[in-house]
Amino acid sequence: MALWVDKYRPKQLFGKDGVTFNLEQAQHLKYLVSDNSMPHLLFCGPSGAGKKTRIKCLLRELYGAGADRTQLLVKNFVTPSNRKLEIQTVSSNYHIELTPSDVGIYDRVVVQDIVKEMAQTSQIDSGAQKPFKVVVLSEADSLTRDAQHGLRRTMEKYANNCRIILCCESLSRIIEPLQSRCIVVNVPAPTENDISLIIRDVLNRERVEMPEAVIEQIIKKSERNLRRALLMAEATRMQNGNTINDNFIVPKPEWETYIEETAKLILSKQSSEIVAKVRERIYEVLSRCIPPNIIFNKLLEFLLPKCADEIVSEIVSEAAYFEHRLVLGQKAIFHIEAFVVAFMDIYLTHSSKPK
Amino acid sequence: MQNKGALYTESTHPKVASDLAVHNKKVQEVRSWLDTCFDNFPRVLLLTGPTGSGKSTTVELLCKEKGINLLEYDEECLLDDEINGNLELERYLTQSAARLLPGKPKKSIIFVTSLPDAAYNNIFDFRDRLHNAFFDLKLPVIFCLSDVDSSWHLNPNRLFTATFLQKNGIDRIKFNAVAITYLKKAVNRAASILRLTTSGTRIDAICEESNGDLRLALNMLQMNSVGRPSSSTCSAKSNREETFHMLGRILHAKRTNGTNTLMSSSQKRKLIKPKEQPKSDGIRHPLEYDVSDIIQMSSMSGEKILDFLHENELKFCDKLRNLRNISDKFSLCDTLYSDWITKQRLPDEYNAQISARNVMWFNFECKPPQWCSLHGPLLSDLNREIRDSVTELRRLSMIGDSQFTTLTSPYSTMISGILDSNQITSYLSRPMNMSWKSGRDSLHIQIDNYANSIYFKRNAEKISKIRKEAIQNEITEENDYEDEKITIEETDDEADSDDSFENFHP
Repeated sequence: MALWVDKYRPKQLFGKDGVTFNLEQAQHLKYLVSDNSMPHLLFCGPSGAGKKTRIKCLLRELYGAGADRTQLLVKNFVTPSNRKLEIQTVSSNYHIELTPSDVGIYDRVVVQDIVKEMAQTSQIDSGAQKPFKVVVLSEADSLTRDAQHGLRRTMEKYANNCRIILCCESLSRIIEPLQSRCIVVNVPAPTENDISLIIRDVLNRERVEMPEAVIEQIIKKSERNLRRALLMAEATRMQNGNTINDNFIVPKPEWETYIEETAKLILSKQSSEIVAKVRERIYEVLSRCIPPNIIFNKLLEFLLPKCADEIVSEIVSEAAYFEHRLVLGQKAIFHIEAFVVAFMDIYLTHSSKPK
Repeated sequence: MQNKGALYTESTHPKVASDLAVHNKKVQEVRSWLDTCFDNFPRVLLLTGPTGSGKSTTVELLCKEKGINLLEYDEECLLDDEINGNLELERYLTQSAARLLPGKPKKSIIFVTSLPDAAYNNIFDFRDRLHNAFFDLKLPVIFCLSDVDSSWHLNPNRLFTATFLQKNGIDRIKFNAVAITYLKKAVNRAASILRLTTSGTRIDAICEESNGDLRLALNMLQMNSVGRPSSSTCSAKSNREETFHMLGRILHAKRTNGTNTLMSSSQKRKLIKPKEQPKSDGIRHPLEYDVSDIIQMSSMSGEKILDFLHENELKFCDKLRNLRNISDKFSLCDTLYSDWITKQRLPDEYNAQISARNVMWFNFECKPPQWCSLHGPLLSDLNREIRDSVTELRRLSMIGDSQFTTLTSPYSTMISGILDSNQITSYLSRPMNMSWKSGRDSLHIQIDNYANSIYFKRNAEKISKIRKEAIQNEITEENDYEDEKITIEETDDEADSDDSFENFHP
C-alpha cells in the first residue's frame, strides 16, 4: 500500500488535482511550458517543499502520461582512466532522472555522457513531439565544481535537443555561470497554514478523524516539511486506529531521539570519557546511513537552547567552521567529534567561571 | 659446506621425527590421524598454524616414515579467468585416485597447500564444491594452510568456519608458533650441521626476532653467516606488534629527564631500559623518540596513522582543552587528505607529521591509565558497513530522495509495522540498541528475533487490522470517486494529449 505521501501527491501543476500551495508559481510554470518550449530550470528549496512534485508535474505537462511510464535502468560509464562506474537512473521515453553525486568525484563524466547521449538520440517525429528531451539532475548542490563546469559547456552545446532541470536545496553551492544559464525556480517551504490545510484534506479523504491537538503537534514537529508532516500523520494513524487520543505524542524517528539523548549526555558532563561515548553513539547513527551534515545540524539544534547567550555566538562559529570541514573532508566522525570537544570546552569554561 | 646455492631451510631439513621443532604432542596428533585416515572412508584434515611452524615439514616427514605417498595439489590455472579454480580443485580431489599407477599399492594422501584464488573470492561456491567433493573422496585429504592474521580475506578461518568443519566432519589440528626453546635447539642444530661459527648471543637474538617462525630464523641465520659480522641483526618482517609500538610511542609521548638533549640512536636504545617516568616539573624536556624516526619506522601511510591515533587518543588525553586542539588538527588533516589538490601536492608524510607531533605536544603531562590497550581503527569497519548499506539502497528506486534514510525509511517501518531484516528499509530503521558492531549476520538474527517478539507482533497485528479497515473503507467509497476519476482523465486530455505516444507503443 502506498504511503499517503505518494498517494496524495499532486498530479498536475494547476487544476483540480494540482499543487495546493505556491499556486501563483505553479501557474507560472504551466504557462512557461505551454508553448512547447522550456528553458533550463533550476529548482531550489528546502526538502519537503515539493520540488520533485513540481518537476514531475512539469514533465507530465510537457509530455503527457508518457512521462509516467518510467523504468529503472542501471547505466554504465567508463572514466578516461578506465574506471567502470554504475549509476541508477529512472527514465521514460522523454526524460531521464539521476543523482550524479552517487558516483562521487566521477560525476563529471556521468553528467556529460548522459547529456550527450540524450541529445544525440533526437525524437523521430519532431513535429508531433517536443523537439527536446529532459535530463533531471537531483541533488545538484553536491555536484563537484568540476562537474558543474562540465555541465555548463554541455548545456550550451546541446541546448537544442536537450533541456536540463537541476534540483537542489541550496543555491549557494551552484556556481554562478550555471545559475545564469537556468531559470531559478525557488520553491519555498509550505507555511504552517498550508500544511494544516493539506493534512486536513488528506485526513478527510482517508476518512480519519484526528483531534485538533494532535494536528497542531504534527504541524509543529513537521519543521515545515510536508513529507515529514504527512509521514507523521500516517504513523500516528497507524499506531492508534480510528480513535486517536488527544494527548497522543506524535512519533519522531528513533535516531532523532537518540541524538537528543546524545546532546543531553554532552551537557551532563564534559570529559574525554564522555567524548568516547558520544563517538560510539555517532557511529551508531552513521551506520544507519543518516547523512553526517544532518547529524551535525540536529546536534546543534539540541545543544544550542541549553547554552548561555554569551557563548552561543562562539559555538555557532565553531559549528560553522567544522561543518565546512565536514563538507571538504571524508571522515565525518573527525569533524563532528572535533565540534563536540570544542563545544564541551567552551561550555565547561563558561560554567566554571565565577559568576 | 654442502650445496652452496641452497637455502639453509632446505639443506638442514629434518630427517627424522625427533629433529622436528614441533611439540611432541602435536607430532603425535598428526601421526595418529595418519594411522586412522584410511579406515572405512577417507578422512579430511585441516592443518593450520603460523608460517614457519613446521606444518608441511611434519606431514612430509611422517608420511615418509610410514611409506605414504603424498600427492601435492598444484594450481594449474593461475592466470586463467575462464577456468573456475574451485571446480578444478573439486575435480582434483575426486579424480586423483585414478591418476595413480595401478601397479603400486602404496597408500596415498592428497596434500593441498594452497587454494585457488576463486576460493577466496567466492567462498560459498568453494564450500559447496568441497562439500560435493567430500562425498566422492577416494583418498584422504590434508589442507595445510598458514594463518594469515593480517588479512581476513586470506584467513583460512574465513573459509573453514567451525560449522563447515563440523558439517563435513573435517578434523582439525592447530599448530602453534615454534616455542623459543625448540627454536634455539633447531637453529643450533642447523648451525652445527653447516659448521657455522655464529655466537650464542647472536643465535639468541635471531630466535628472539623471528617470533617463532623457524623458516625466518634460518633465513636470518643464513643472512648473518655471510659477509663480515655486522652490529645489527637482520631485520625481522614488519608485523602488527611493531605498529602498536609506534603508536604507543606517539601516544605516550615520553620525554627525557632533560639531562641529554641530543641523542644518537644507540643512546636511545639504552634509554629504553631504565623505565622511569620523567618527573613532571612542568618543563617540556626533549622527546625520548624522534617523531620523524617513529613515522618512518612505522611504515604506515599518513592516513593510517591518523586513523589509529584518532581511535586511541581519547584514552590518553584527559584535558579537554588539549583534546580540543588535537581533534581540531585531526579534522584539518582529514580535509587535507580529502582535497584532491593538496593530496597530490603535499607529501604524504606531512599529514602524519602534523597529527603525530600535535598529539605528542598536547599529550604532555597527561596521565593515561596504567593498562591501556590500543585498538585498530573501528572507522574502517564502519565505512565498510555504510558502503554495503548504500549499495543496497541504490538498488531501490529512490533517486533524488535525499531524505530516504532520515524520514521515509523510519516512518514507513512505523507505518507498515513490518520488520524484515532482508529489507534495507527495515534494516536501517532497526531499534537503536541493535549496534552495527555485532556484524550484519548477527544483526539480521537480532532483528528477526525482535520482529517475532510478543510486543512487536501485537503491534503489527493492530496495524494490519487498521490497514484492513482502511482498505475496506476505500472499496465502499470507490463508487463515489469514480465520476471524479473520469473528469481527471478528461483534463489530462485537454492539457496535452499524447496520441502520438500511444500510437508508438500500443
